[in-house]
Amino acid sequence: MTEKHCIQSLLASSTHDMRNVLAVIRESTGLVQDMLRFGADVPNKERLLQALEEVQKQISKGALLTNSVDCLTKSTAEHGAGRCDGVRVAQAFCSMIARHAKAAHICCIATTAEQAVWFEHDALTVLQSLMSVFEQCTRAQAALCLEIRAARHEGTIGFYLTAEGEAAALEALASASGIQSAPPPWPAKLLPWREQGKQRFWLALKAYSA
Amino acid sequence: MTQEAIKILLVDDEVQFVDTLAERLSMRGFTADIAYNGTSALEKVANTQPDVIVLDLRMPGMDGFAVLKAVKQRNPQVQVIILTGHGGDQEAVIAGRYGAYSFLRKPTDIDALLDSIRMAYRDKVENAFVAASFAQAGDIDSAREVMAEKDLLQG
Repeated sequence: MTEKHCIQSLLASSTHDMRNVLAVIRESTGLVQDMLRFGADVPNKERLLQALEEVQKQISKGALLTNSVDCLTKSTAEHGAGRCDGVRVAQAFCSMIARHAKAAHICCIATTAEQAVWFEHDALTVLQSLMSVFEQCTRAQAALCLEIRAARHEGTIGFYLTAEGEAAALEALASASGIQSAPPPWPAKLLPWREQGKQRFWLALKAYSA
Repeated sequence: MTQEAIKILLVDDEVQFVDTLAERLSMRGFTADIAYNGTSALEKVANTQPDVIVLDLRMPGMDGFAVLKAVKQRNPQVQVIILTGHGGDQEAVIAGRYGAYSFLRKPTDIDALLDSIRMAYRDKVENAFVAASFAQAGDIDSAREVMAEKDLLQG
């Protein structure tokens, strides 16, 4: 998982989603125009409101996507070199990868948290680790729901991942005890365990550090 | 040719988008059927034999390229317009090779889409007319070639 590949994948997915957002806005506003242009003298008020509500919804979705892409560029500058909020990065990742995830039958959910969890890595490095896990999921070619929560665990920082879904996908993830990229290797390790009947992982971001 | 005569199938997993597009086409006198995934699209093609398919590329399960290939193998006379938020020039070239009539990117203007649908339908009718003329003259091979002409040219 190279930096370039990670950025390309996230931007491709985000761009696709943004085009869909714009397409729904265009059709919904177009429908409102059509209803006023071609429709009866008194247009269907309920349908008009529904179309405009959809526009509002899509604008919110577009704003979230934009903020997520912004996370790639801003985190280092805002919080100092090599530092980022894991909660925000997880949310950005889930938002940016959503379109690719949907096509692969994977659902990524970032658990919301009131407090930031500061990682001593830049956002891109953290995104790379999450992308590696995501690609591991796609290789299993099975439906999967992945919940991501930034946290500290026994002195290390990383993500708790809770995976639910088909056995093949869970097994593929569980067998991936090491997640790394080349070159150079950056610190990440995926540790599986089971708890309360669910497959859980700890994605530690310093496991390989010297 | 009347607008109602063109049988359109819209294939997209973005429900809100495709439902609204169908509604807008309906306000312009077109009837459009909808499929929300590739498998359902192929069933509808077999059952209703649309004239023009407006097809998304990236969908869960069977993707747009797989649908396009299957449609062109089974019903080469059906015209397929790609309308997608995914991909760029490379995907457009591949779609052309597989026999797509045109490649449009979301968000597209409804008039541009309608122009493409009308031209695709006109091409289909002309191909059928020429093929019928060959068939009437007993030249079955030429008739078959005309029906698959687009695919041959684009492949």
